[in-house]
Amino acid sequence: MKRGWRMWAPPLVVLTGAVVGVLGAALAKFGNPPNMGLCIACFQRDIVGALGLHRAGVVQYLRPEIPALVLGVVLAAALSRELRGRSAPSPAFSFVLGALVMVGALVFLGCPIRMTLRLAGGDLNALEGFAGFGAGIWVGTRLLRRGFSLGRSVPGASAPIVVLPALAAGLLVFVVVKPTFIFASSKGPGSMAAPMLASVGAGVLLGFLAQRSRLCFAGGIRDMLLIRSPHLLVGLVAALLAAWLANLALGQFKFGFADQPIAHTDHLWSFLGMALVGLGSMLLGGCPLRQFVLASQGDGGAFAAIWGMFAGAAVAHNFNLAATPVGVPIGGKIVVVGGLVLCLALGWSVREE
Amino acid sequence: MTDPQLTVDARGSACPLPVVRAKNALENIRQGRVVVLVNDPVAKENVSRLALHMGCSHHCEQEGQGYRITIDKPGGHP
Repeated sequence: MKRGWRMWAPPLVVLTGAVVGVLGAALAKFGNPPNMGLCIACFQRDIVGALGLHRAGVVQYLRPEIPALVLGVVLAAALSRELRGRSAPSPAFSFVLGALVMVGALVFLGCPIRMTLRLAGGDLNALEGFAGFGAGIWVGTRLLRRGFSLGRSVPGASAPIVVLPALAAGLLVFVVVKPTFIFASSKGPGSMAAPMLASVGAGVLLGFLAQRSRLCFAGGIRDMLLIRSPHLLVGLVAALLAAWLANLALGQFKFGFADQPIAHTDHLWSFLGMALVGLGSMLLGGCPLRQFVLASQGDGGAFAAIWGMFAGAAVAHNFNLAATPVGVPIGGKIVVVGGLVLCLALGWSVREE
Repeated sequence: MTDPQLTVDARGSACPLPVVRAKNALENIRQGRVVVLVNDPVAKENVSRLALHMGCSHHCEQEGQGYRITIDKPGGHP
């Protein structure tokens, strides 16, 4: 029986967390937007914009990190024989939950990874995000213990195993070839980018390690609440500490609430936006990063969730739901509150006996 | 009550439901055996970790396409 410190802090989870932190800080130094060296939600949103599926001109860029992450996951899963198809038990629910998680993240201005990177860069507005994220996860654990379930998947052939790597490879070709139908921002966060090879390398490394370590930013807090196990939470803590140290070393640390890069000071909506991300992630079974890992290794439910996240990004920017450094639009506030109510209703009513 | 046995079939359930169901089952008995069926390596790792955290002995075996995890809860842990 394996016991001792490895049970509490598995080295691979700590390593993956630390790599997330260092890559996040380094990619920002290399050219990605400040405190946004890595962000699943922001980068999906940028890709959606690059494909012309939303018209917010400042956030359109075909971020190589996301397709590279998919390929890194596929490589790791293939080597460990974990590339296996599973059906989506409730694809419609997964799609809607994915979309809501994305809107919540774009109201806060970051997924759980960017929330961690923002705090590590001294942005104290991320503290409200952490509080909201934790609160959403706590509510989610109550619903899970009460019996919430999206149903059971069955093993078998699954589209994600073929579709996602093919799409990822196609997007990387577009990154290199730069066809004219791909949009690219000339100003704003979408115009800031690390060198392509650095982004691709970071994505593949993150995907590989995330698949092997099972790192999940929501799962870390959930397992601490549910079974008092810090084995995933140490990954989040490692990411925070590594990014903080890297930011200090790179001269990127700026402490305070005001004038933080790509952030607003609307405290209530930072809290509620991340509460929606936390609760939605609980009902989906993992944070946005984990959804990409699961989908890339063949999980149909996570596959539906990431399409929901892409759709949520398009909707958020087409219909003015996403926050800006100025604040949160009324539409974003309405969808966050409505999304929280919908998640609670789903979590309460959808049960498996 | 002596050595009751419960079986939790968590095959096909998404993370963290296998752990939640196993935990609920273990908390509902004073002592005895809980058998958890899963078909995912991550679920196997998570349920095994739960057993360790709850101070229970366990062992895993391959069963078809999945795994059977047998958890023994010792007495004195109500």
